[in-house]
Amino acid sequence: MRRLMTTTHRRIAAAVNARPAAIRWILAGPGAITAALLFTTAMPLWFPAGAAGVNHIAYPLVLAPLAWAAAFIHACLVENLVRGLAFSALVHGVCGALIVIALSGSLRW
Amino acid sequence: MVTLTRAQMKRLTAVHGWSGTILGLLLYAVIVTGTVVVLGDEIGAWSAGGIRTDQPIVPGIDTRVRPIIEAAPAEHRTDITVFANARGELLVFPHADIQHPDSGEPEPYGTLFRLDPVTGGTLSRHEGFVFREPAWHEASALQDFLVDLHVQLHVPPPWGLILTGVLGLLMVAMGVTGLLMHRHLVRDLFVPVRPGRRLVSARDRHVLAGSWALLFAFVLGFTGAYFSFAGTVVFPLLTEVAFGGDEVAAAEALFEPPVVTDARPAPLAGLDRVVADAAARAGSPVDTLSIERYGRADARIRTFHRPPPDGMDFVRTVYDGVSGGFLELRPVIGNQPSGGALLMGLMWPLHTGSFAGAPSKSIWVGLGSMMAFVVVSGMRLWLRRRDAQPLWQGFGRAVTIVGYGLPVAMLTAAHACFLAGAVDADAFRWTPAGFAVGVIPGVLPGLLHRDEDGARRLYRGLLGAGVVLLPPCRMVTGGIGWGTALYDGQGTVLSIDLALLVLGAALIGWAMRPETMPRPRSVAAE
Repeated sequence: MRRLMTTTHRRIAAAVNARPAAIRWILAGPGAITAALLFTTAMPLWFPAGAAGVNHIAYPLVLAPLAWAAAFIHACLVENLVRGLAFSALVHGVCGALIVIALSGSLRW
Repeated sequence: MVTLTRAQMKRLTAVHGWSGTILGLLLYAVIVTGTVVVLGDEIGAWSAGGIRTDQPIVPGIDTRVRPIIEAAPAEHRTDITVFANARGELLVFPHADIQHPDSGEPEPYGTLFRLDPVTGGTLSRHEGFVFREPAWHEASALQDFLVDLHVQLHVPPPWGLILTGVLGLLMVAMGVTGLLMHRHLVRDLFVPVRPGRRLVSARDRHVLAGSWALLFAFVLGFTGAYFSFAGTVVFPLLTEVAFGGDEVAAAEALFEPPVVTDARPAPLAGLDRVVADAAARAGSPVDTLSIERYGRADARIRTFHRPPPDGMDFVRTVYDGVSGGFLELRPVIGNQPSGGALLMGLMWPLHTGSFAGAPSKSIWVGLGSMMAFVVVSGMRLWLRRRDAQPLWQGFGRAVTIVGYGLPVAMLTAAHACFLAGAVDADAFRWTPAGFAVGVIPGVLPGLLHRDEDGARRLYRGLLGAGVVLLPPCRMVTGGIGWGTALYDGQGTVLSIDLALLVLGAALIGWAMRPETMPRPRSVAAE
């Protein structure tokens, strides 16, 4: 199992490192936009609403541009593209899963 | 400062330069119009002319507003909004939300009454979807035009907002990449500009202005992107996960005061006492007053105020519509103060510089002008390194044309606004038309003048003449004179006129100044 994972990891790393410019473009362009949108859309599901019951809406509303800026600058600066891609995939996966669960009705604020 | 590897620095330089080059001209347009619109209220008061009072919603409005409400059709009494335009006229709008045939969305429909704030006489009345007709509810076509140009570049909604939001994000990216690229930020704040017109001199000027404007660029880009995307993209997405996609329910839960429904008929409380009490509590006069569920026992009166002298956020109060008793001071979102409400409340004053009156607005205008210079000087720096190639030479000419042509076109729009008012034409139609006509003098000098320095001098002369002629144009076309302005206490009119005359004279002087230094070729070692 461990050997299989190592082989898969090596294959992905080789594919990413073969096209570093294209991968960085994807990460910094559409990747940063979708990561920021998914992150802010999922925020009401885990961010505390506070005593007034509005923080989980107000904070993502205000912080959305900063979420994009963080994703964009990270994509520009990250040296290890495989790690950068993995981090972006993690954000997409976790936030996307939370949103799908919420929209399916299992998790609703 | 952050230590970057050579590869990271190279990538940031490419991002900073290419994004600035590709979207720089649009960003310049948004920054220049934004710098002017910081003084939007003042420009509105200056260009509308004939202001009778700047505080029309004061005790005494009850006798003016109540007869209009009582005469309105019952179906239009659901909500009543009372506000003022830039001329200080009182606007009373009993209305209901009705589905608009074009948009398919509920929009306010009713009869808008425009009243003289001194005599209370009706100046005009219009029935329809009022907020689709700016001429009905706004007094300054120039203010309306400039604000729309800044907010959405006259691109139809929501695409205009999305476009300016992208430019806001670009500004954030430019600010952050600029900050990371600075190896010596504090030293760069005081970098001595090497004289002459060499490449290093241009770079020094860009670095010096950019260092001072970095934080400002970030704040303006961030808050601008917030205003562009919050309503068009982010709020609809948040309501999908938090309110099952019901935007009306979300807006009611977040922005409306809680009310126990009581449809029994009941008379409306006296508005004069509410207005006086609200102004005293808020520390500033009532800007807008709204009456919800008129004639019912669960009616509410809400007032909105500009920030008081010791505050940054707008003030919102709620009163019982029947007893007139004070109920609460409301934050911008939610029913009690919160961190989120504080953050949202800061967005507007930070974006517009309206938190400390004229001093903060002046600083915002100065920093906005500096930002415009940073964008243009950055593009010129980028071009100086590539000026051997014809394509980049053409782009350099485009930078000059847009850099000077946009203010020229904005000036012709202002002249058109005054001239249209003088001949009773529709200023809301002729102001954008004036901008379109102004594209001709805005573009021609740059196209026809083969020598770029000569083109720039011509542009400065044109701008100077246009600016100097604005105050006489305003007065000749029916605007109030300086004597009347002084007598009526309208310092804004006098201040803007004088500022324009000084600015115009400076531009003409700049245009007439002879070139003292020859322009050297760029040197690779620089």
